[in-house]
Amino acid sequence: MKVTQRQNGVSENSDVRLSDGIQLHPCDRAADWEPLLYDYAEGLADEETGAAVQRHLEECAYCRGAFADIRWMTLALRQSVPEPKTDLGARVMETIRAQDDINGRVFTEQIDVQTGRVLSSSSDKRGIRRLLNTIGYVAASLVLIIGLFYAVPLLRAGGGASSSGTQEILLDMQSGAEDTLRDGVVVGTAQNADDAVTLQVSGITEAGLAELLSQLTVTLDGYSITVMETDDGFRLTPLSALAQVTAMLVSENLQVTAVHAETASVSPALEDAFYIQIREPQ
Amino acid sequence: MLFMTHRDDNNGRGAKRDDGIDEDTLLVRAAQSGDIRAFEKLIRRYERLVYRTAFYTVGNDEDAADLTQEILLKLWHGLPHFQGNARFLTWFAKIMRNTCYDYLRKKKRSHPTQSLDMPSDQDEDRPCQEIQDASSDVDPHEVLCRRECTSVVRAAMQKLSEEHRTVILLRDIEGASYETIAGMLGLEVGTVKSRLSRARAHLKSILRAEDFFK
Repeated sequence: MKVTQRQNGVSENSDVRLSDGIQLHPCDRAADWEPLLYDYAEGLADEETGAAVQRHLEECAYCRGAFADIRWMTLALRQSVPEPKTDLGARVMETIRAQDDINGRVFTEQIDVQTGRVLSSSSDKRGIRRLLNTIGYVAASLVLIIGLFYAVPLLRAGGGASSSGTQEILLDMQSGAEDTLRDGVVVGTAQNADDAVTLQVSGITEAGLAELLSQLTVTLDGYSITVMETDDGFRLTPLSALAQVTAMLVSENLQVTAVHAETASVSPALEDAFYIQIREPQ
Repeated sequence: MLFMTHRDDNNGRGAKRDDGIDEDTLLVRAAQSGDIRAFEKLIRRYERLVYRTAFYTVGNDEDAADLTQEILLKLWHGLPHFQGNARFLTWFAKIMRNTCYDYLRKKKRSHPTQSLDMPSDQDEDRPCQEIQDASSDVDPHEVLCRRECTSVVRAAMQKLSEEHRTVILLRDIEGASYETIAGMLGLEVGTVKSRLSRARAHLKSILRAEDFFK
């Protein structure tokens, strides 16, 4: 006997009259079974509950009828909302990245050449923070370097300040873009299979390296990464399958340095690329 | 790989790691510190839910897409202000709700309201098209029947109170766990269950009046 036409739902717990006139008595525990029937119909019931529902449905014609209604209703509900036609998340991320894109003008305005500090009086401090925090690409790093290279003499000329307050690394950056790149950039290459990356450092002063080590903040999607000094450089761990790491020491007072982890030469699909977060001075 | 802990049927929403920390919390913290990729992971978890909520707010795909993007952008801009006093989902649900209200207010001023029981041609075509695409030998009668059912269900959902519509959306359409729903709505799990029971009963009675089950 198939329950196809029901005049009343199980929630009222009343008698059910079938299309052939046969009357069914309501299930004594219909109210208890109903949420489980929904879970089962929606595939949300665990294995044990599902088995119990199945056994009950085999025995109870009333709940079988209710289940048919529920299944039909939940199916229609799920079909009632279309899928979005476009990748909305991707569009949002594009918008965010565009909004937070690097702006050399804004950045150079934040640099105090005497102290190397990020100016906190900027009207777009939050934007700058986000800007700095989201730098994660080599191109961005290069823009940063070049921006500083041109910004430093510009700011000096405007402010007429001496260089006495600047740090050694910052002074080095004035000698030319190539020097800046050579002196200010730390390049590392993945050298082993134990999920670590060694940074090989060259062309940078000992004090600068100490500063880098003390101020470098590295995160991997929210996980802190330990920076350890080794005989041949610095080891960041844990970090998986990175082909190359580039870090740039800009200024100790900027409390940062930039950064990038190249994964393209290993696999463009790798998600474990990391970047070093850039933080404003406290 | 990050966040490789267990994921539930809700795409990891509300799931906790072995150390008891909510995965959303980790993503939120990382995003707050400027980790844009953490934010992307976060919105990937919720974009469908947001879209579905938006769809049942505005009634068509185009506006729902706009609203979805607006909500997600508000989340990004609002995240630095999230203090963590409330659960992330509870806070995010408020953003969704307020943005939906604002959107409707703006829409009402500029255009007449379009209700879900009058879906646009564009939307109405979609379920039919999807069914046809899925199987070329689908019974045309069944296609028409399903299309009609979709329309009836949308209209019935619109007749529910917002509270009832929300719990049905979250549970019966989105498949969210009771705990997740409770977190989003700031309710006890027991309250969610009882509200859901009443909402389903109401929806069923509306559908029955439309001969939906015949």
